Amino acid sequence: MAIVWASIRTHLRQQGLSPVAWLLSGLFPIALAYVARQLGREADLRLVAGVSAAAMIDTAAALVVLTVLSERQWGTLRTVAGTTRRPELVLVGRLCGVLIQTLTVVPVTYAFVSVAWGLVPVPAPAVAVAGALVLAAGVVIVMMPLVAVLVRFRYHPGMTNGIPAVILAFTGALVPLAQLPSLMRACATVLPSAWAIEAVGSGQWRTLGYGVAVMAGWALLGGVLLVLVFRRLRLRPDAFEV
Amino acid sequence: MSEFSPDHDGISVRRLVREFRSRTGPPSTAVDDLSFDVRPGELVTLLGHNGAGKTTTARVLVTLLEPTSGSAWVAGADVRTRAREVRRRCGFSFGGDTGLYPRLSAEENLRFFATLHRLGGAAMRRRCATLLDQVGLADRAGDRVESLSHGLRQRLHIARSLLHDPPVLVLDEPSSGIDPVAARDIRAMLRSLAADGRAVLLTTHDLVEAEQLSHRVLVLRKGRLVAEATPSRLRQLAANSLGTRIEVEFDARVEAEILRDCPGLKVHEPIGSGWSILVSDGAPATSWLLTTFGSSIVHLNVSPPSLEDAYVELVGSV
Repeated sequence: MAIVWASIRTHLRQQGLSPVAWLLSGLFPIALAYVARQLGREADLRLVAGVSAAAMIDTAAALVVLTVLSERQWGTLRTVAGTTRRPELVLVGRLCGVLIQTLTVVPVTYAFVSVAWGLVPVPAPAVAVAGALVLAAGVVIVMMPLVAVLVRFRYHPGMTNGIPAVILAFTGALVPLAQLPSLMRACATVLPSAWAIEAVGSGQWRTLGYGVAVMAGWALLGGVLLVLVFRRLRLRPDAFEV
Repeated sequence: MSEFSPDHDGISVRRLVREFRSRTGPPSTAVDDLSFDVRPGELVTLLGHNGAGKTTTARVLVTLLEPTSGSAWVAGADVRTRAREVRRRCGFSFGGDTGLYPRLSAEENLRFFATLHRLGGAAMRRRCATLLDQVGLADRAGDRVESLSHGLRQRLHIARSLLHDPPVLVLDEPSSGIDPVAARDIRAMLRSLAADGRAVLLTTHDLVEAEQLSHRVLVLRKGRLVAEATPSRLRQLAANSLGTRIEVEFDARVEAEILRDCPGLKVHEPIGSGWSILVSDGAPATSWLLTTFGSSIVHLNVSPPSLEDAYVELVGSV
């Protein structure tokens, strides 16, 4: 745990005040909430959850890419890989740091929607708070395979550009899942954020439980991918090259 | 599986091969049948052109790359089967401006990497403070790495490599690109690290550094070891092949015919009031000059080949 904690702390020391982070987690949800409201969405908890999810996806993707590419550019993954601790743990710590940055989207969105269009009632506060946590964690954990890709393919950060858009389309963030075609609804079941948005809106623990289960699956997949990528990296001539 | 087992806790490399597969052509061999030892208390330098296999060897030793075949032992542990043990007992620095977090201070960097070496609490803080002091960075401990000069970063790299007090150090060009004064300080630091009983393997392009620091020099060419000797022995080998240059000036004119009796004479050409002569062995030629011309010699300069001459002779123009 010490290494994950140290990794979170140093991540926030380096990236916590980055303009990209504040722009995406501060201004972006406000603009998005305004647009959604103008398009006729109710100013309710579903709007807060959907807008938060959309902003989180974009924020998390940008920060994850920035974080991993910085580690590569600074050559620090190489230094980390030469210690007795697993570099995967350092990256998990970095993702936890991104999670903390991403979480700020929820209070920002809730506060803006409440101030602009009246206080948003929260019928099940415990589910809403837990849902916000699962939402943020789900968004970040889904990025773990992306982290593995960025570590493995040093010249291909551009291939990550479309990922936030795809997740956004399938997660039901801006368009409620019920209004999506059945195929897209089926795809959404593998995204923890889709379950979390539903749970925050409906106040149901059971829905949130599904989200947690799906999230655990992504965490397992991401963890395995990272371990495999680092193992294979030691066979490559450009391993850990800047 | 190799049956070799080292008899010391430094570095032992036996018949090491590292190939890299290519999608378009045959595999390239970066390290080819390489064997050497670095014993505790020894500082050994790997010399070679770019692409000679120095950095690949260093990476295999610190477990960042797996060997294709052969074996390498670091501090008594096989790099292939006991990689974690190797990392616990080996410090490394690949130098340059990378490998550190530029937005963290020097001290924060050390503390982060100390955590990765399972140090914590007051012991970790003490260790970081001691090392910062040891490398002369105590007064810059709170400065961000991005604000430090290249030389100061190199010192920080060395401090980082020493965090877990490893008995083996692998340092890739630790003084590359830094000014002569900073380079001298780093050399003094490296000398003391070996004097402390550590086995130190250094890769460098700097022949002066290799000559000043090394107990032994290993010369690599296209991944193969082409020479292994002390710097003075290498110079001697080069002298046998290249010869020794002697510049001698006299108080009176000396004819070329007389010099033809000089033992081992290869070439002679006039300079000023004397001669520049190239001989196969400096000692008998110098002795002959002193005996033959005695007090009429006003200046005598014997220049055996430098380590650079020896190096160029060994690796050619590749």
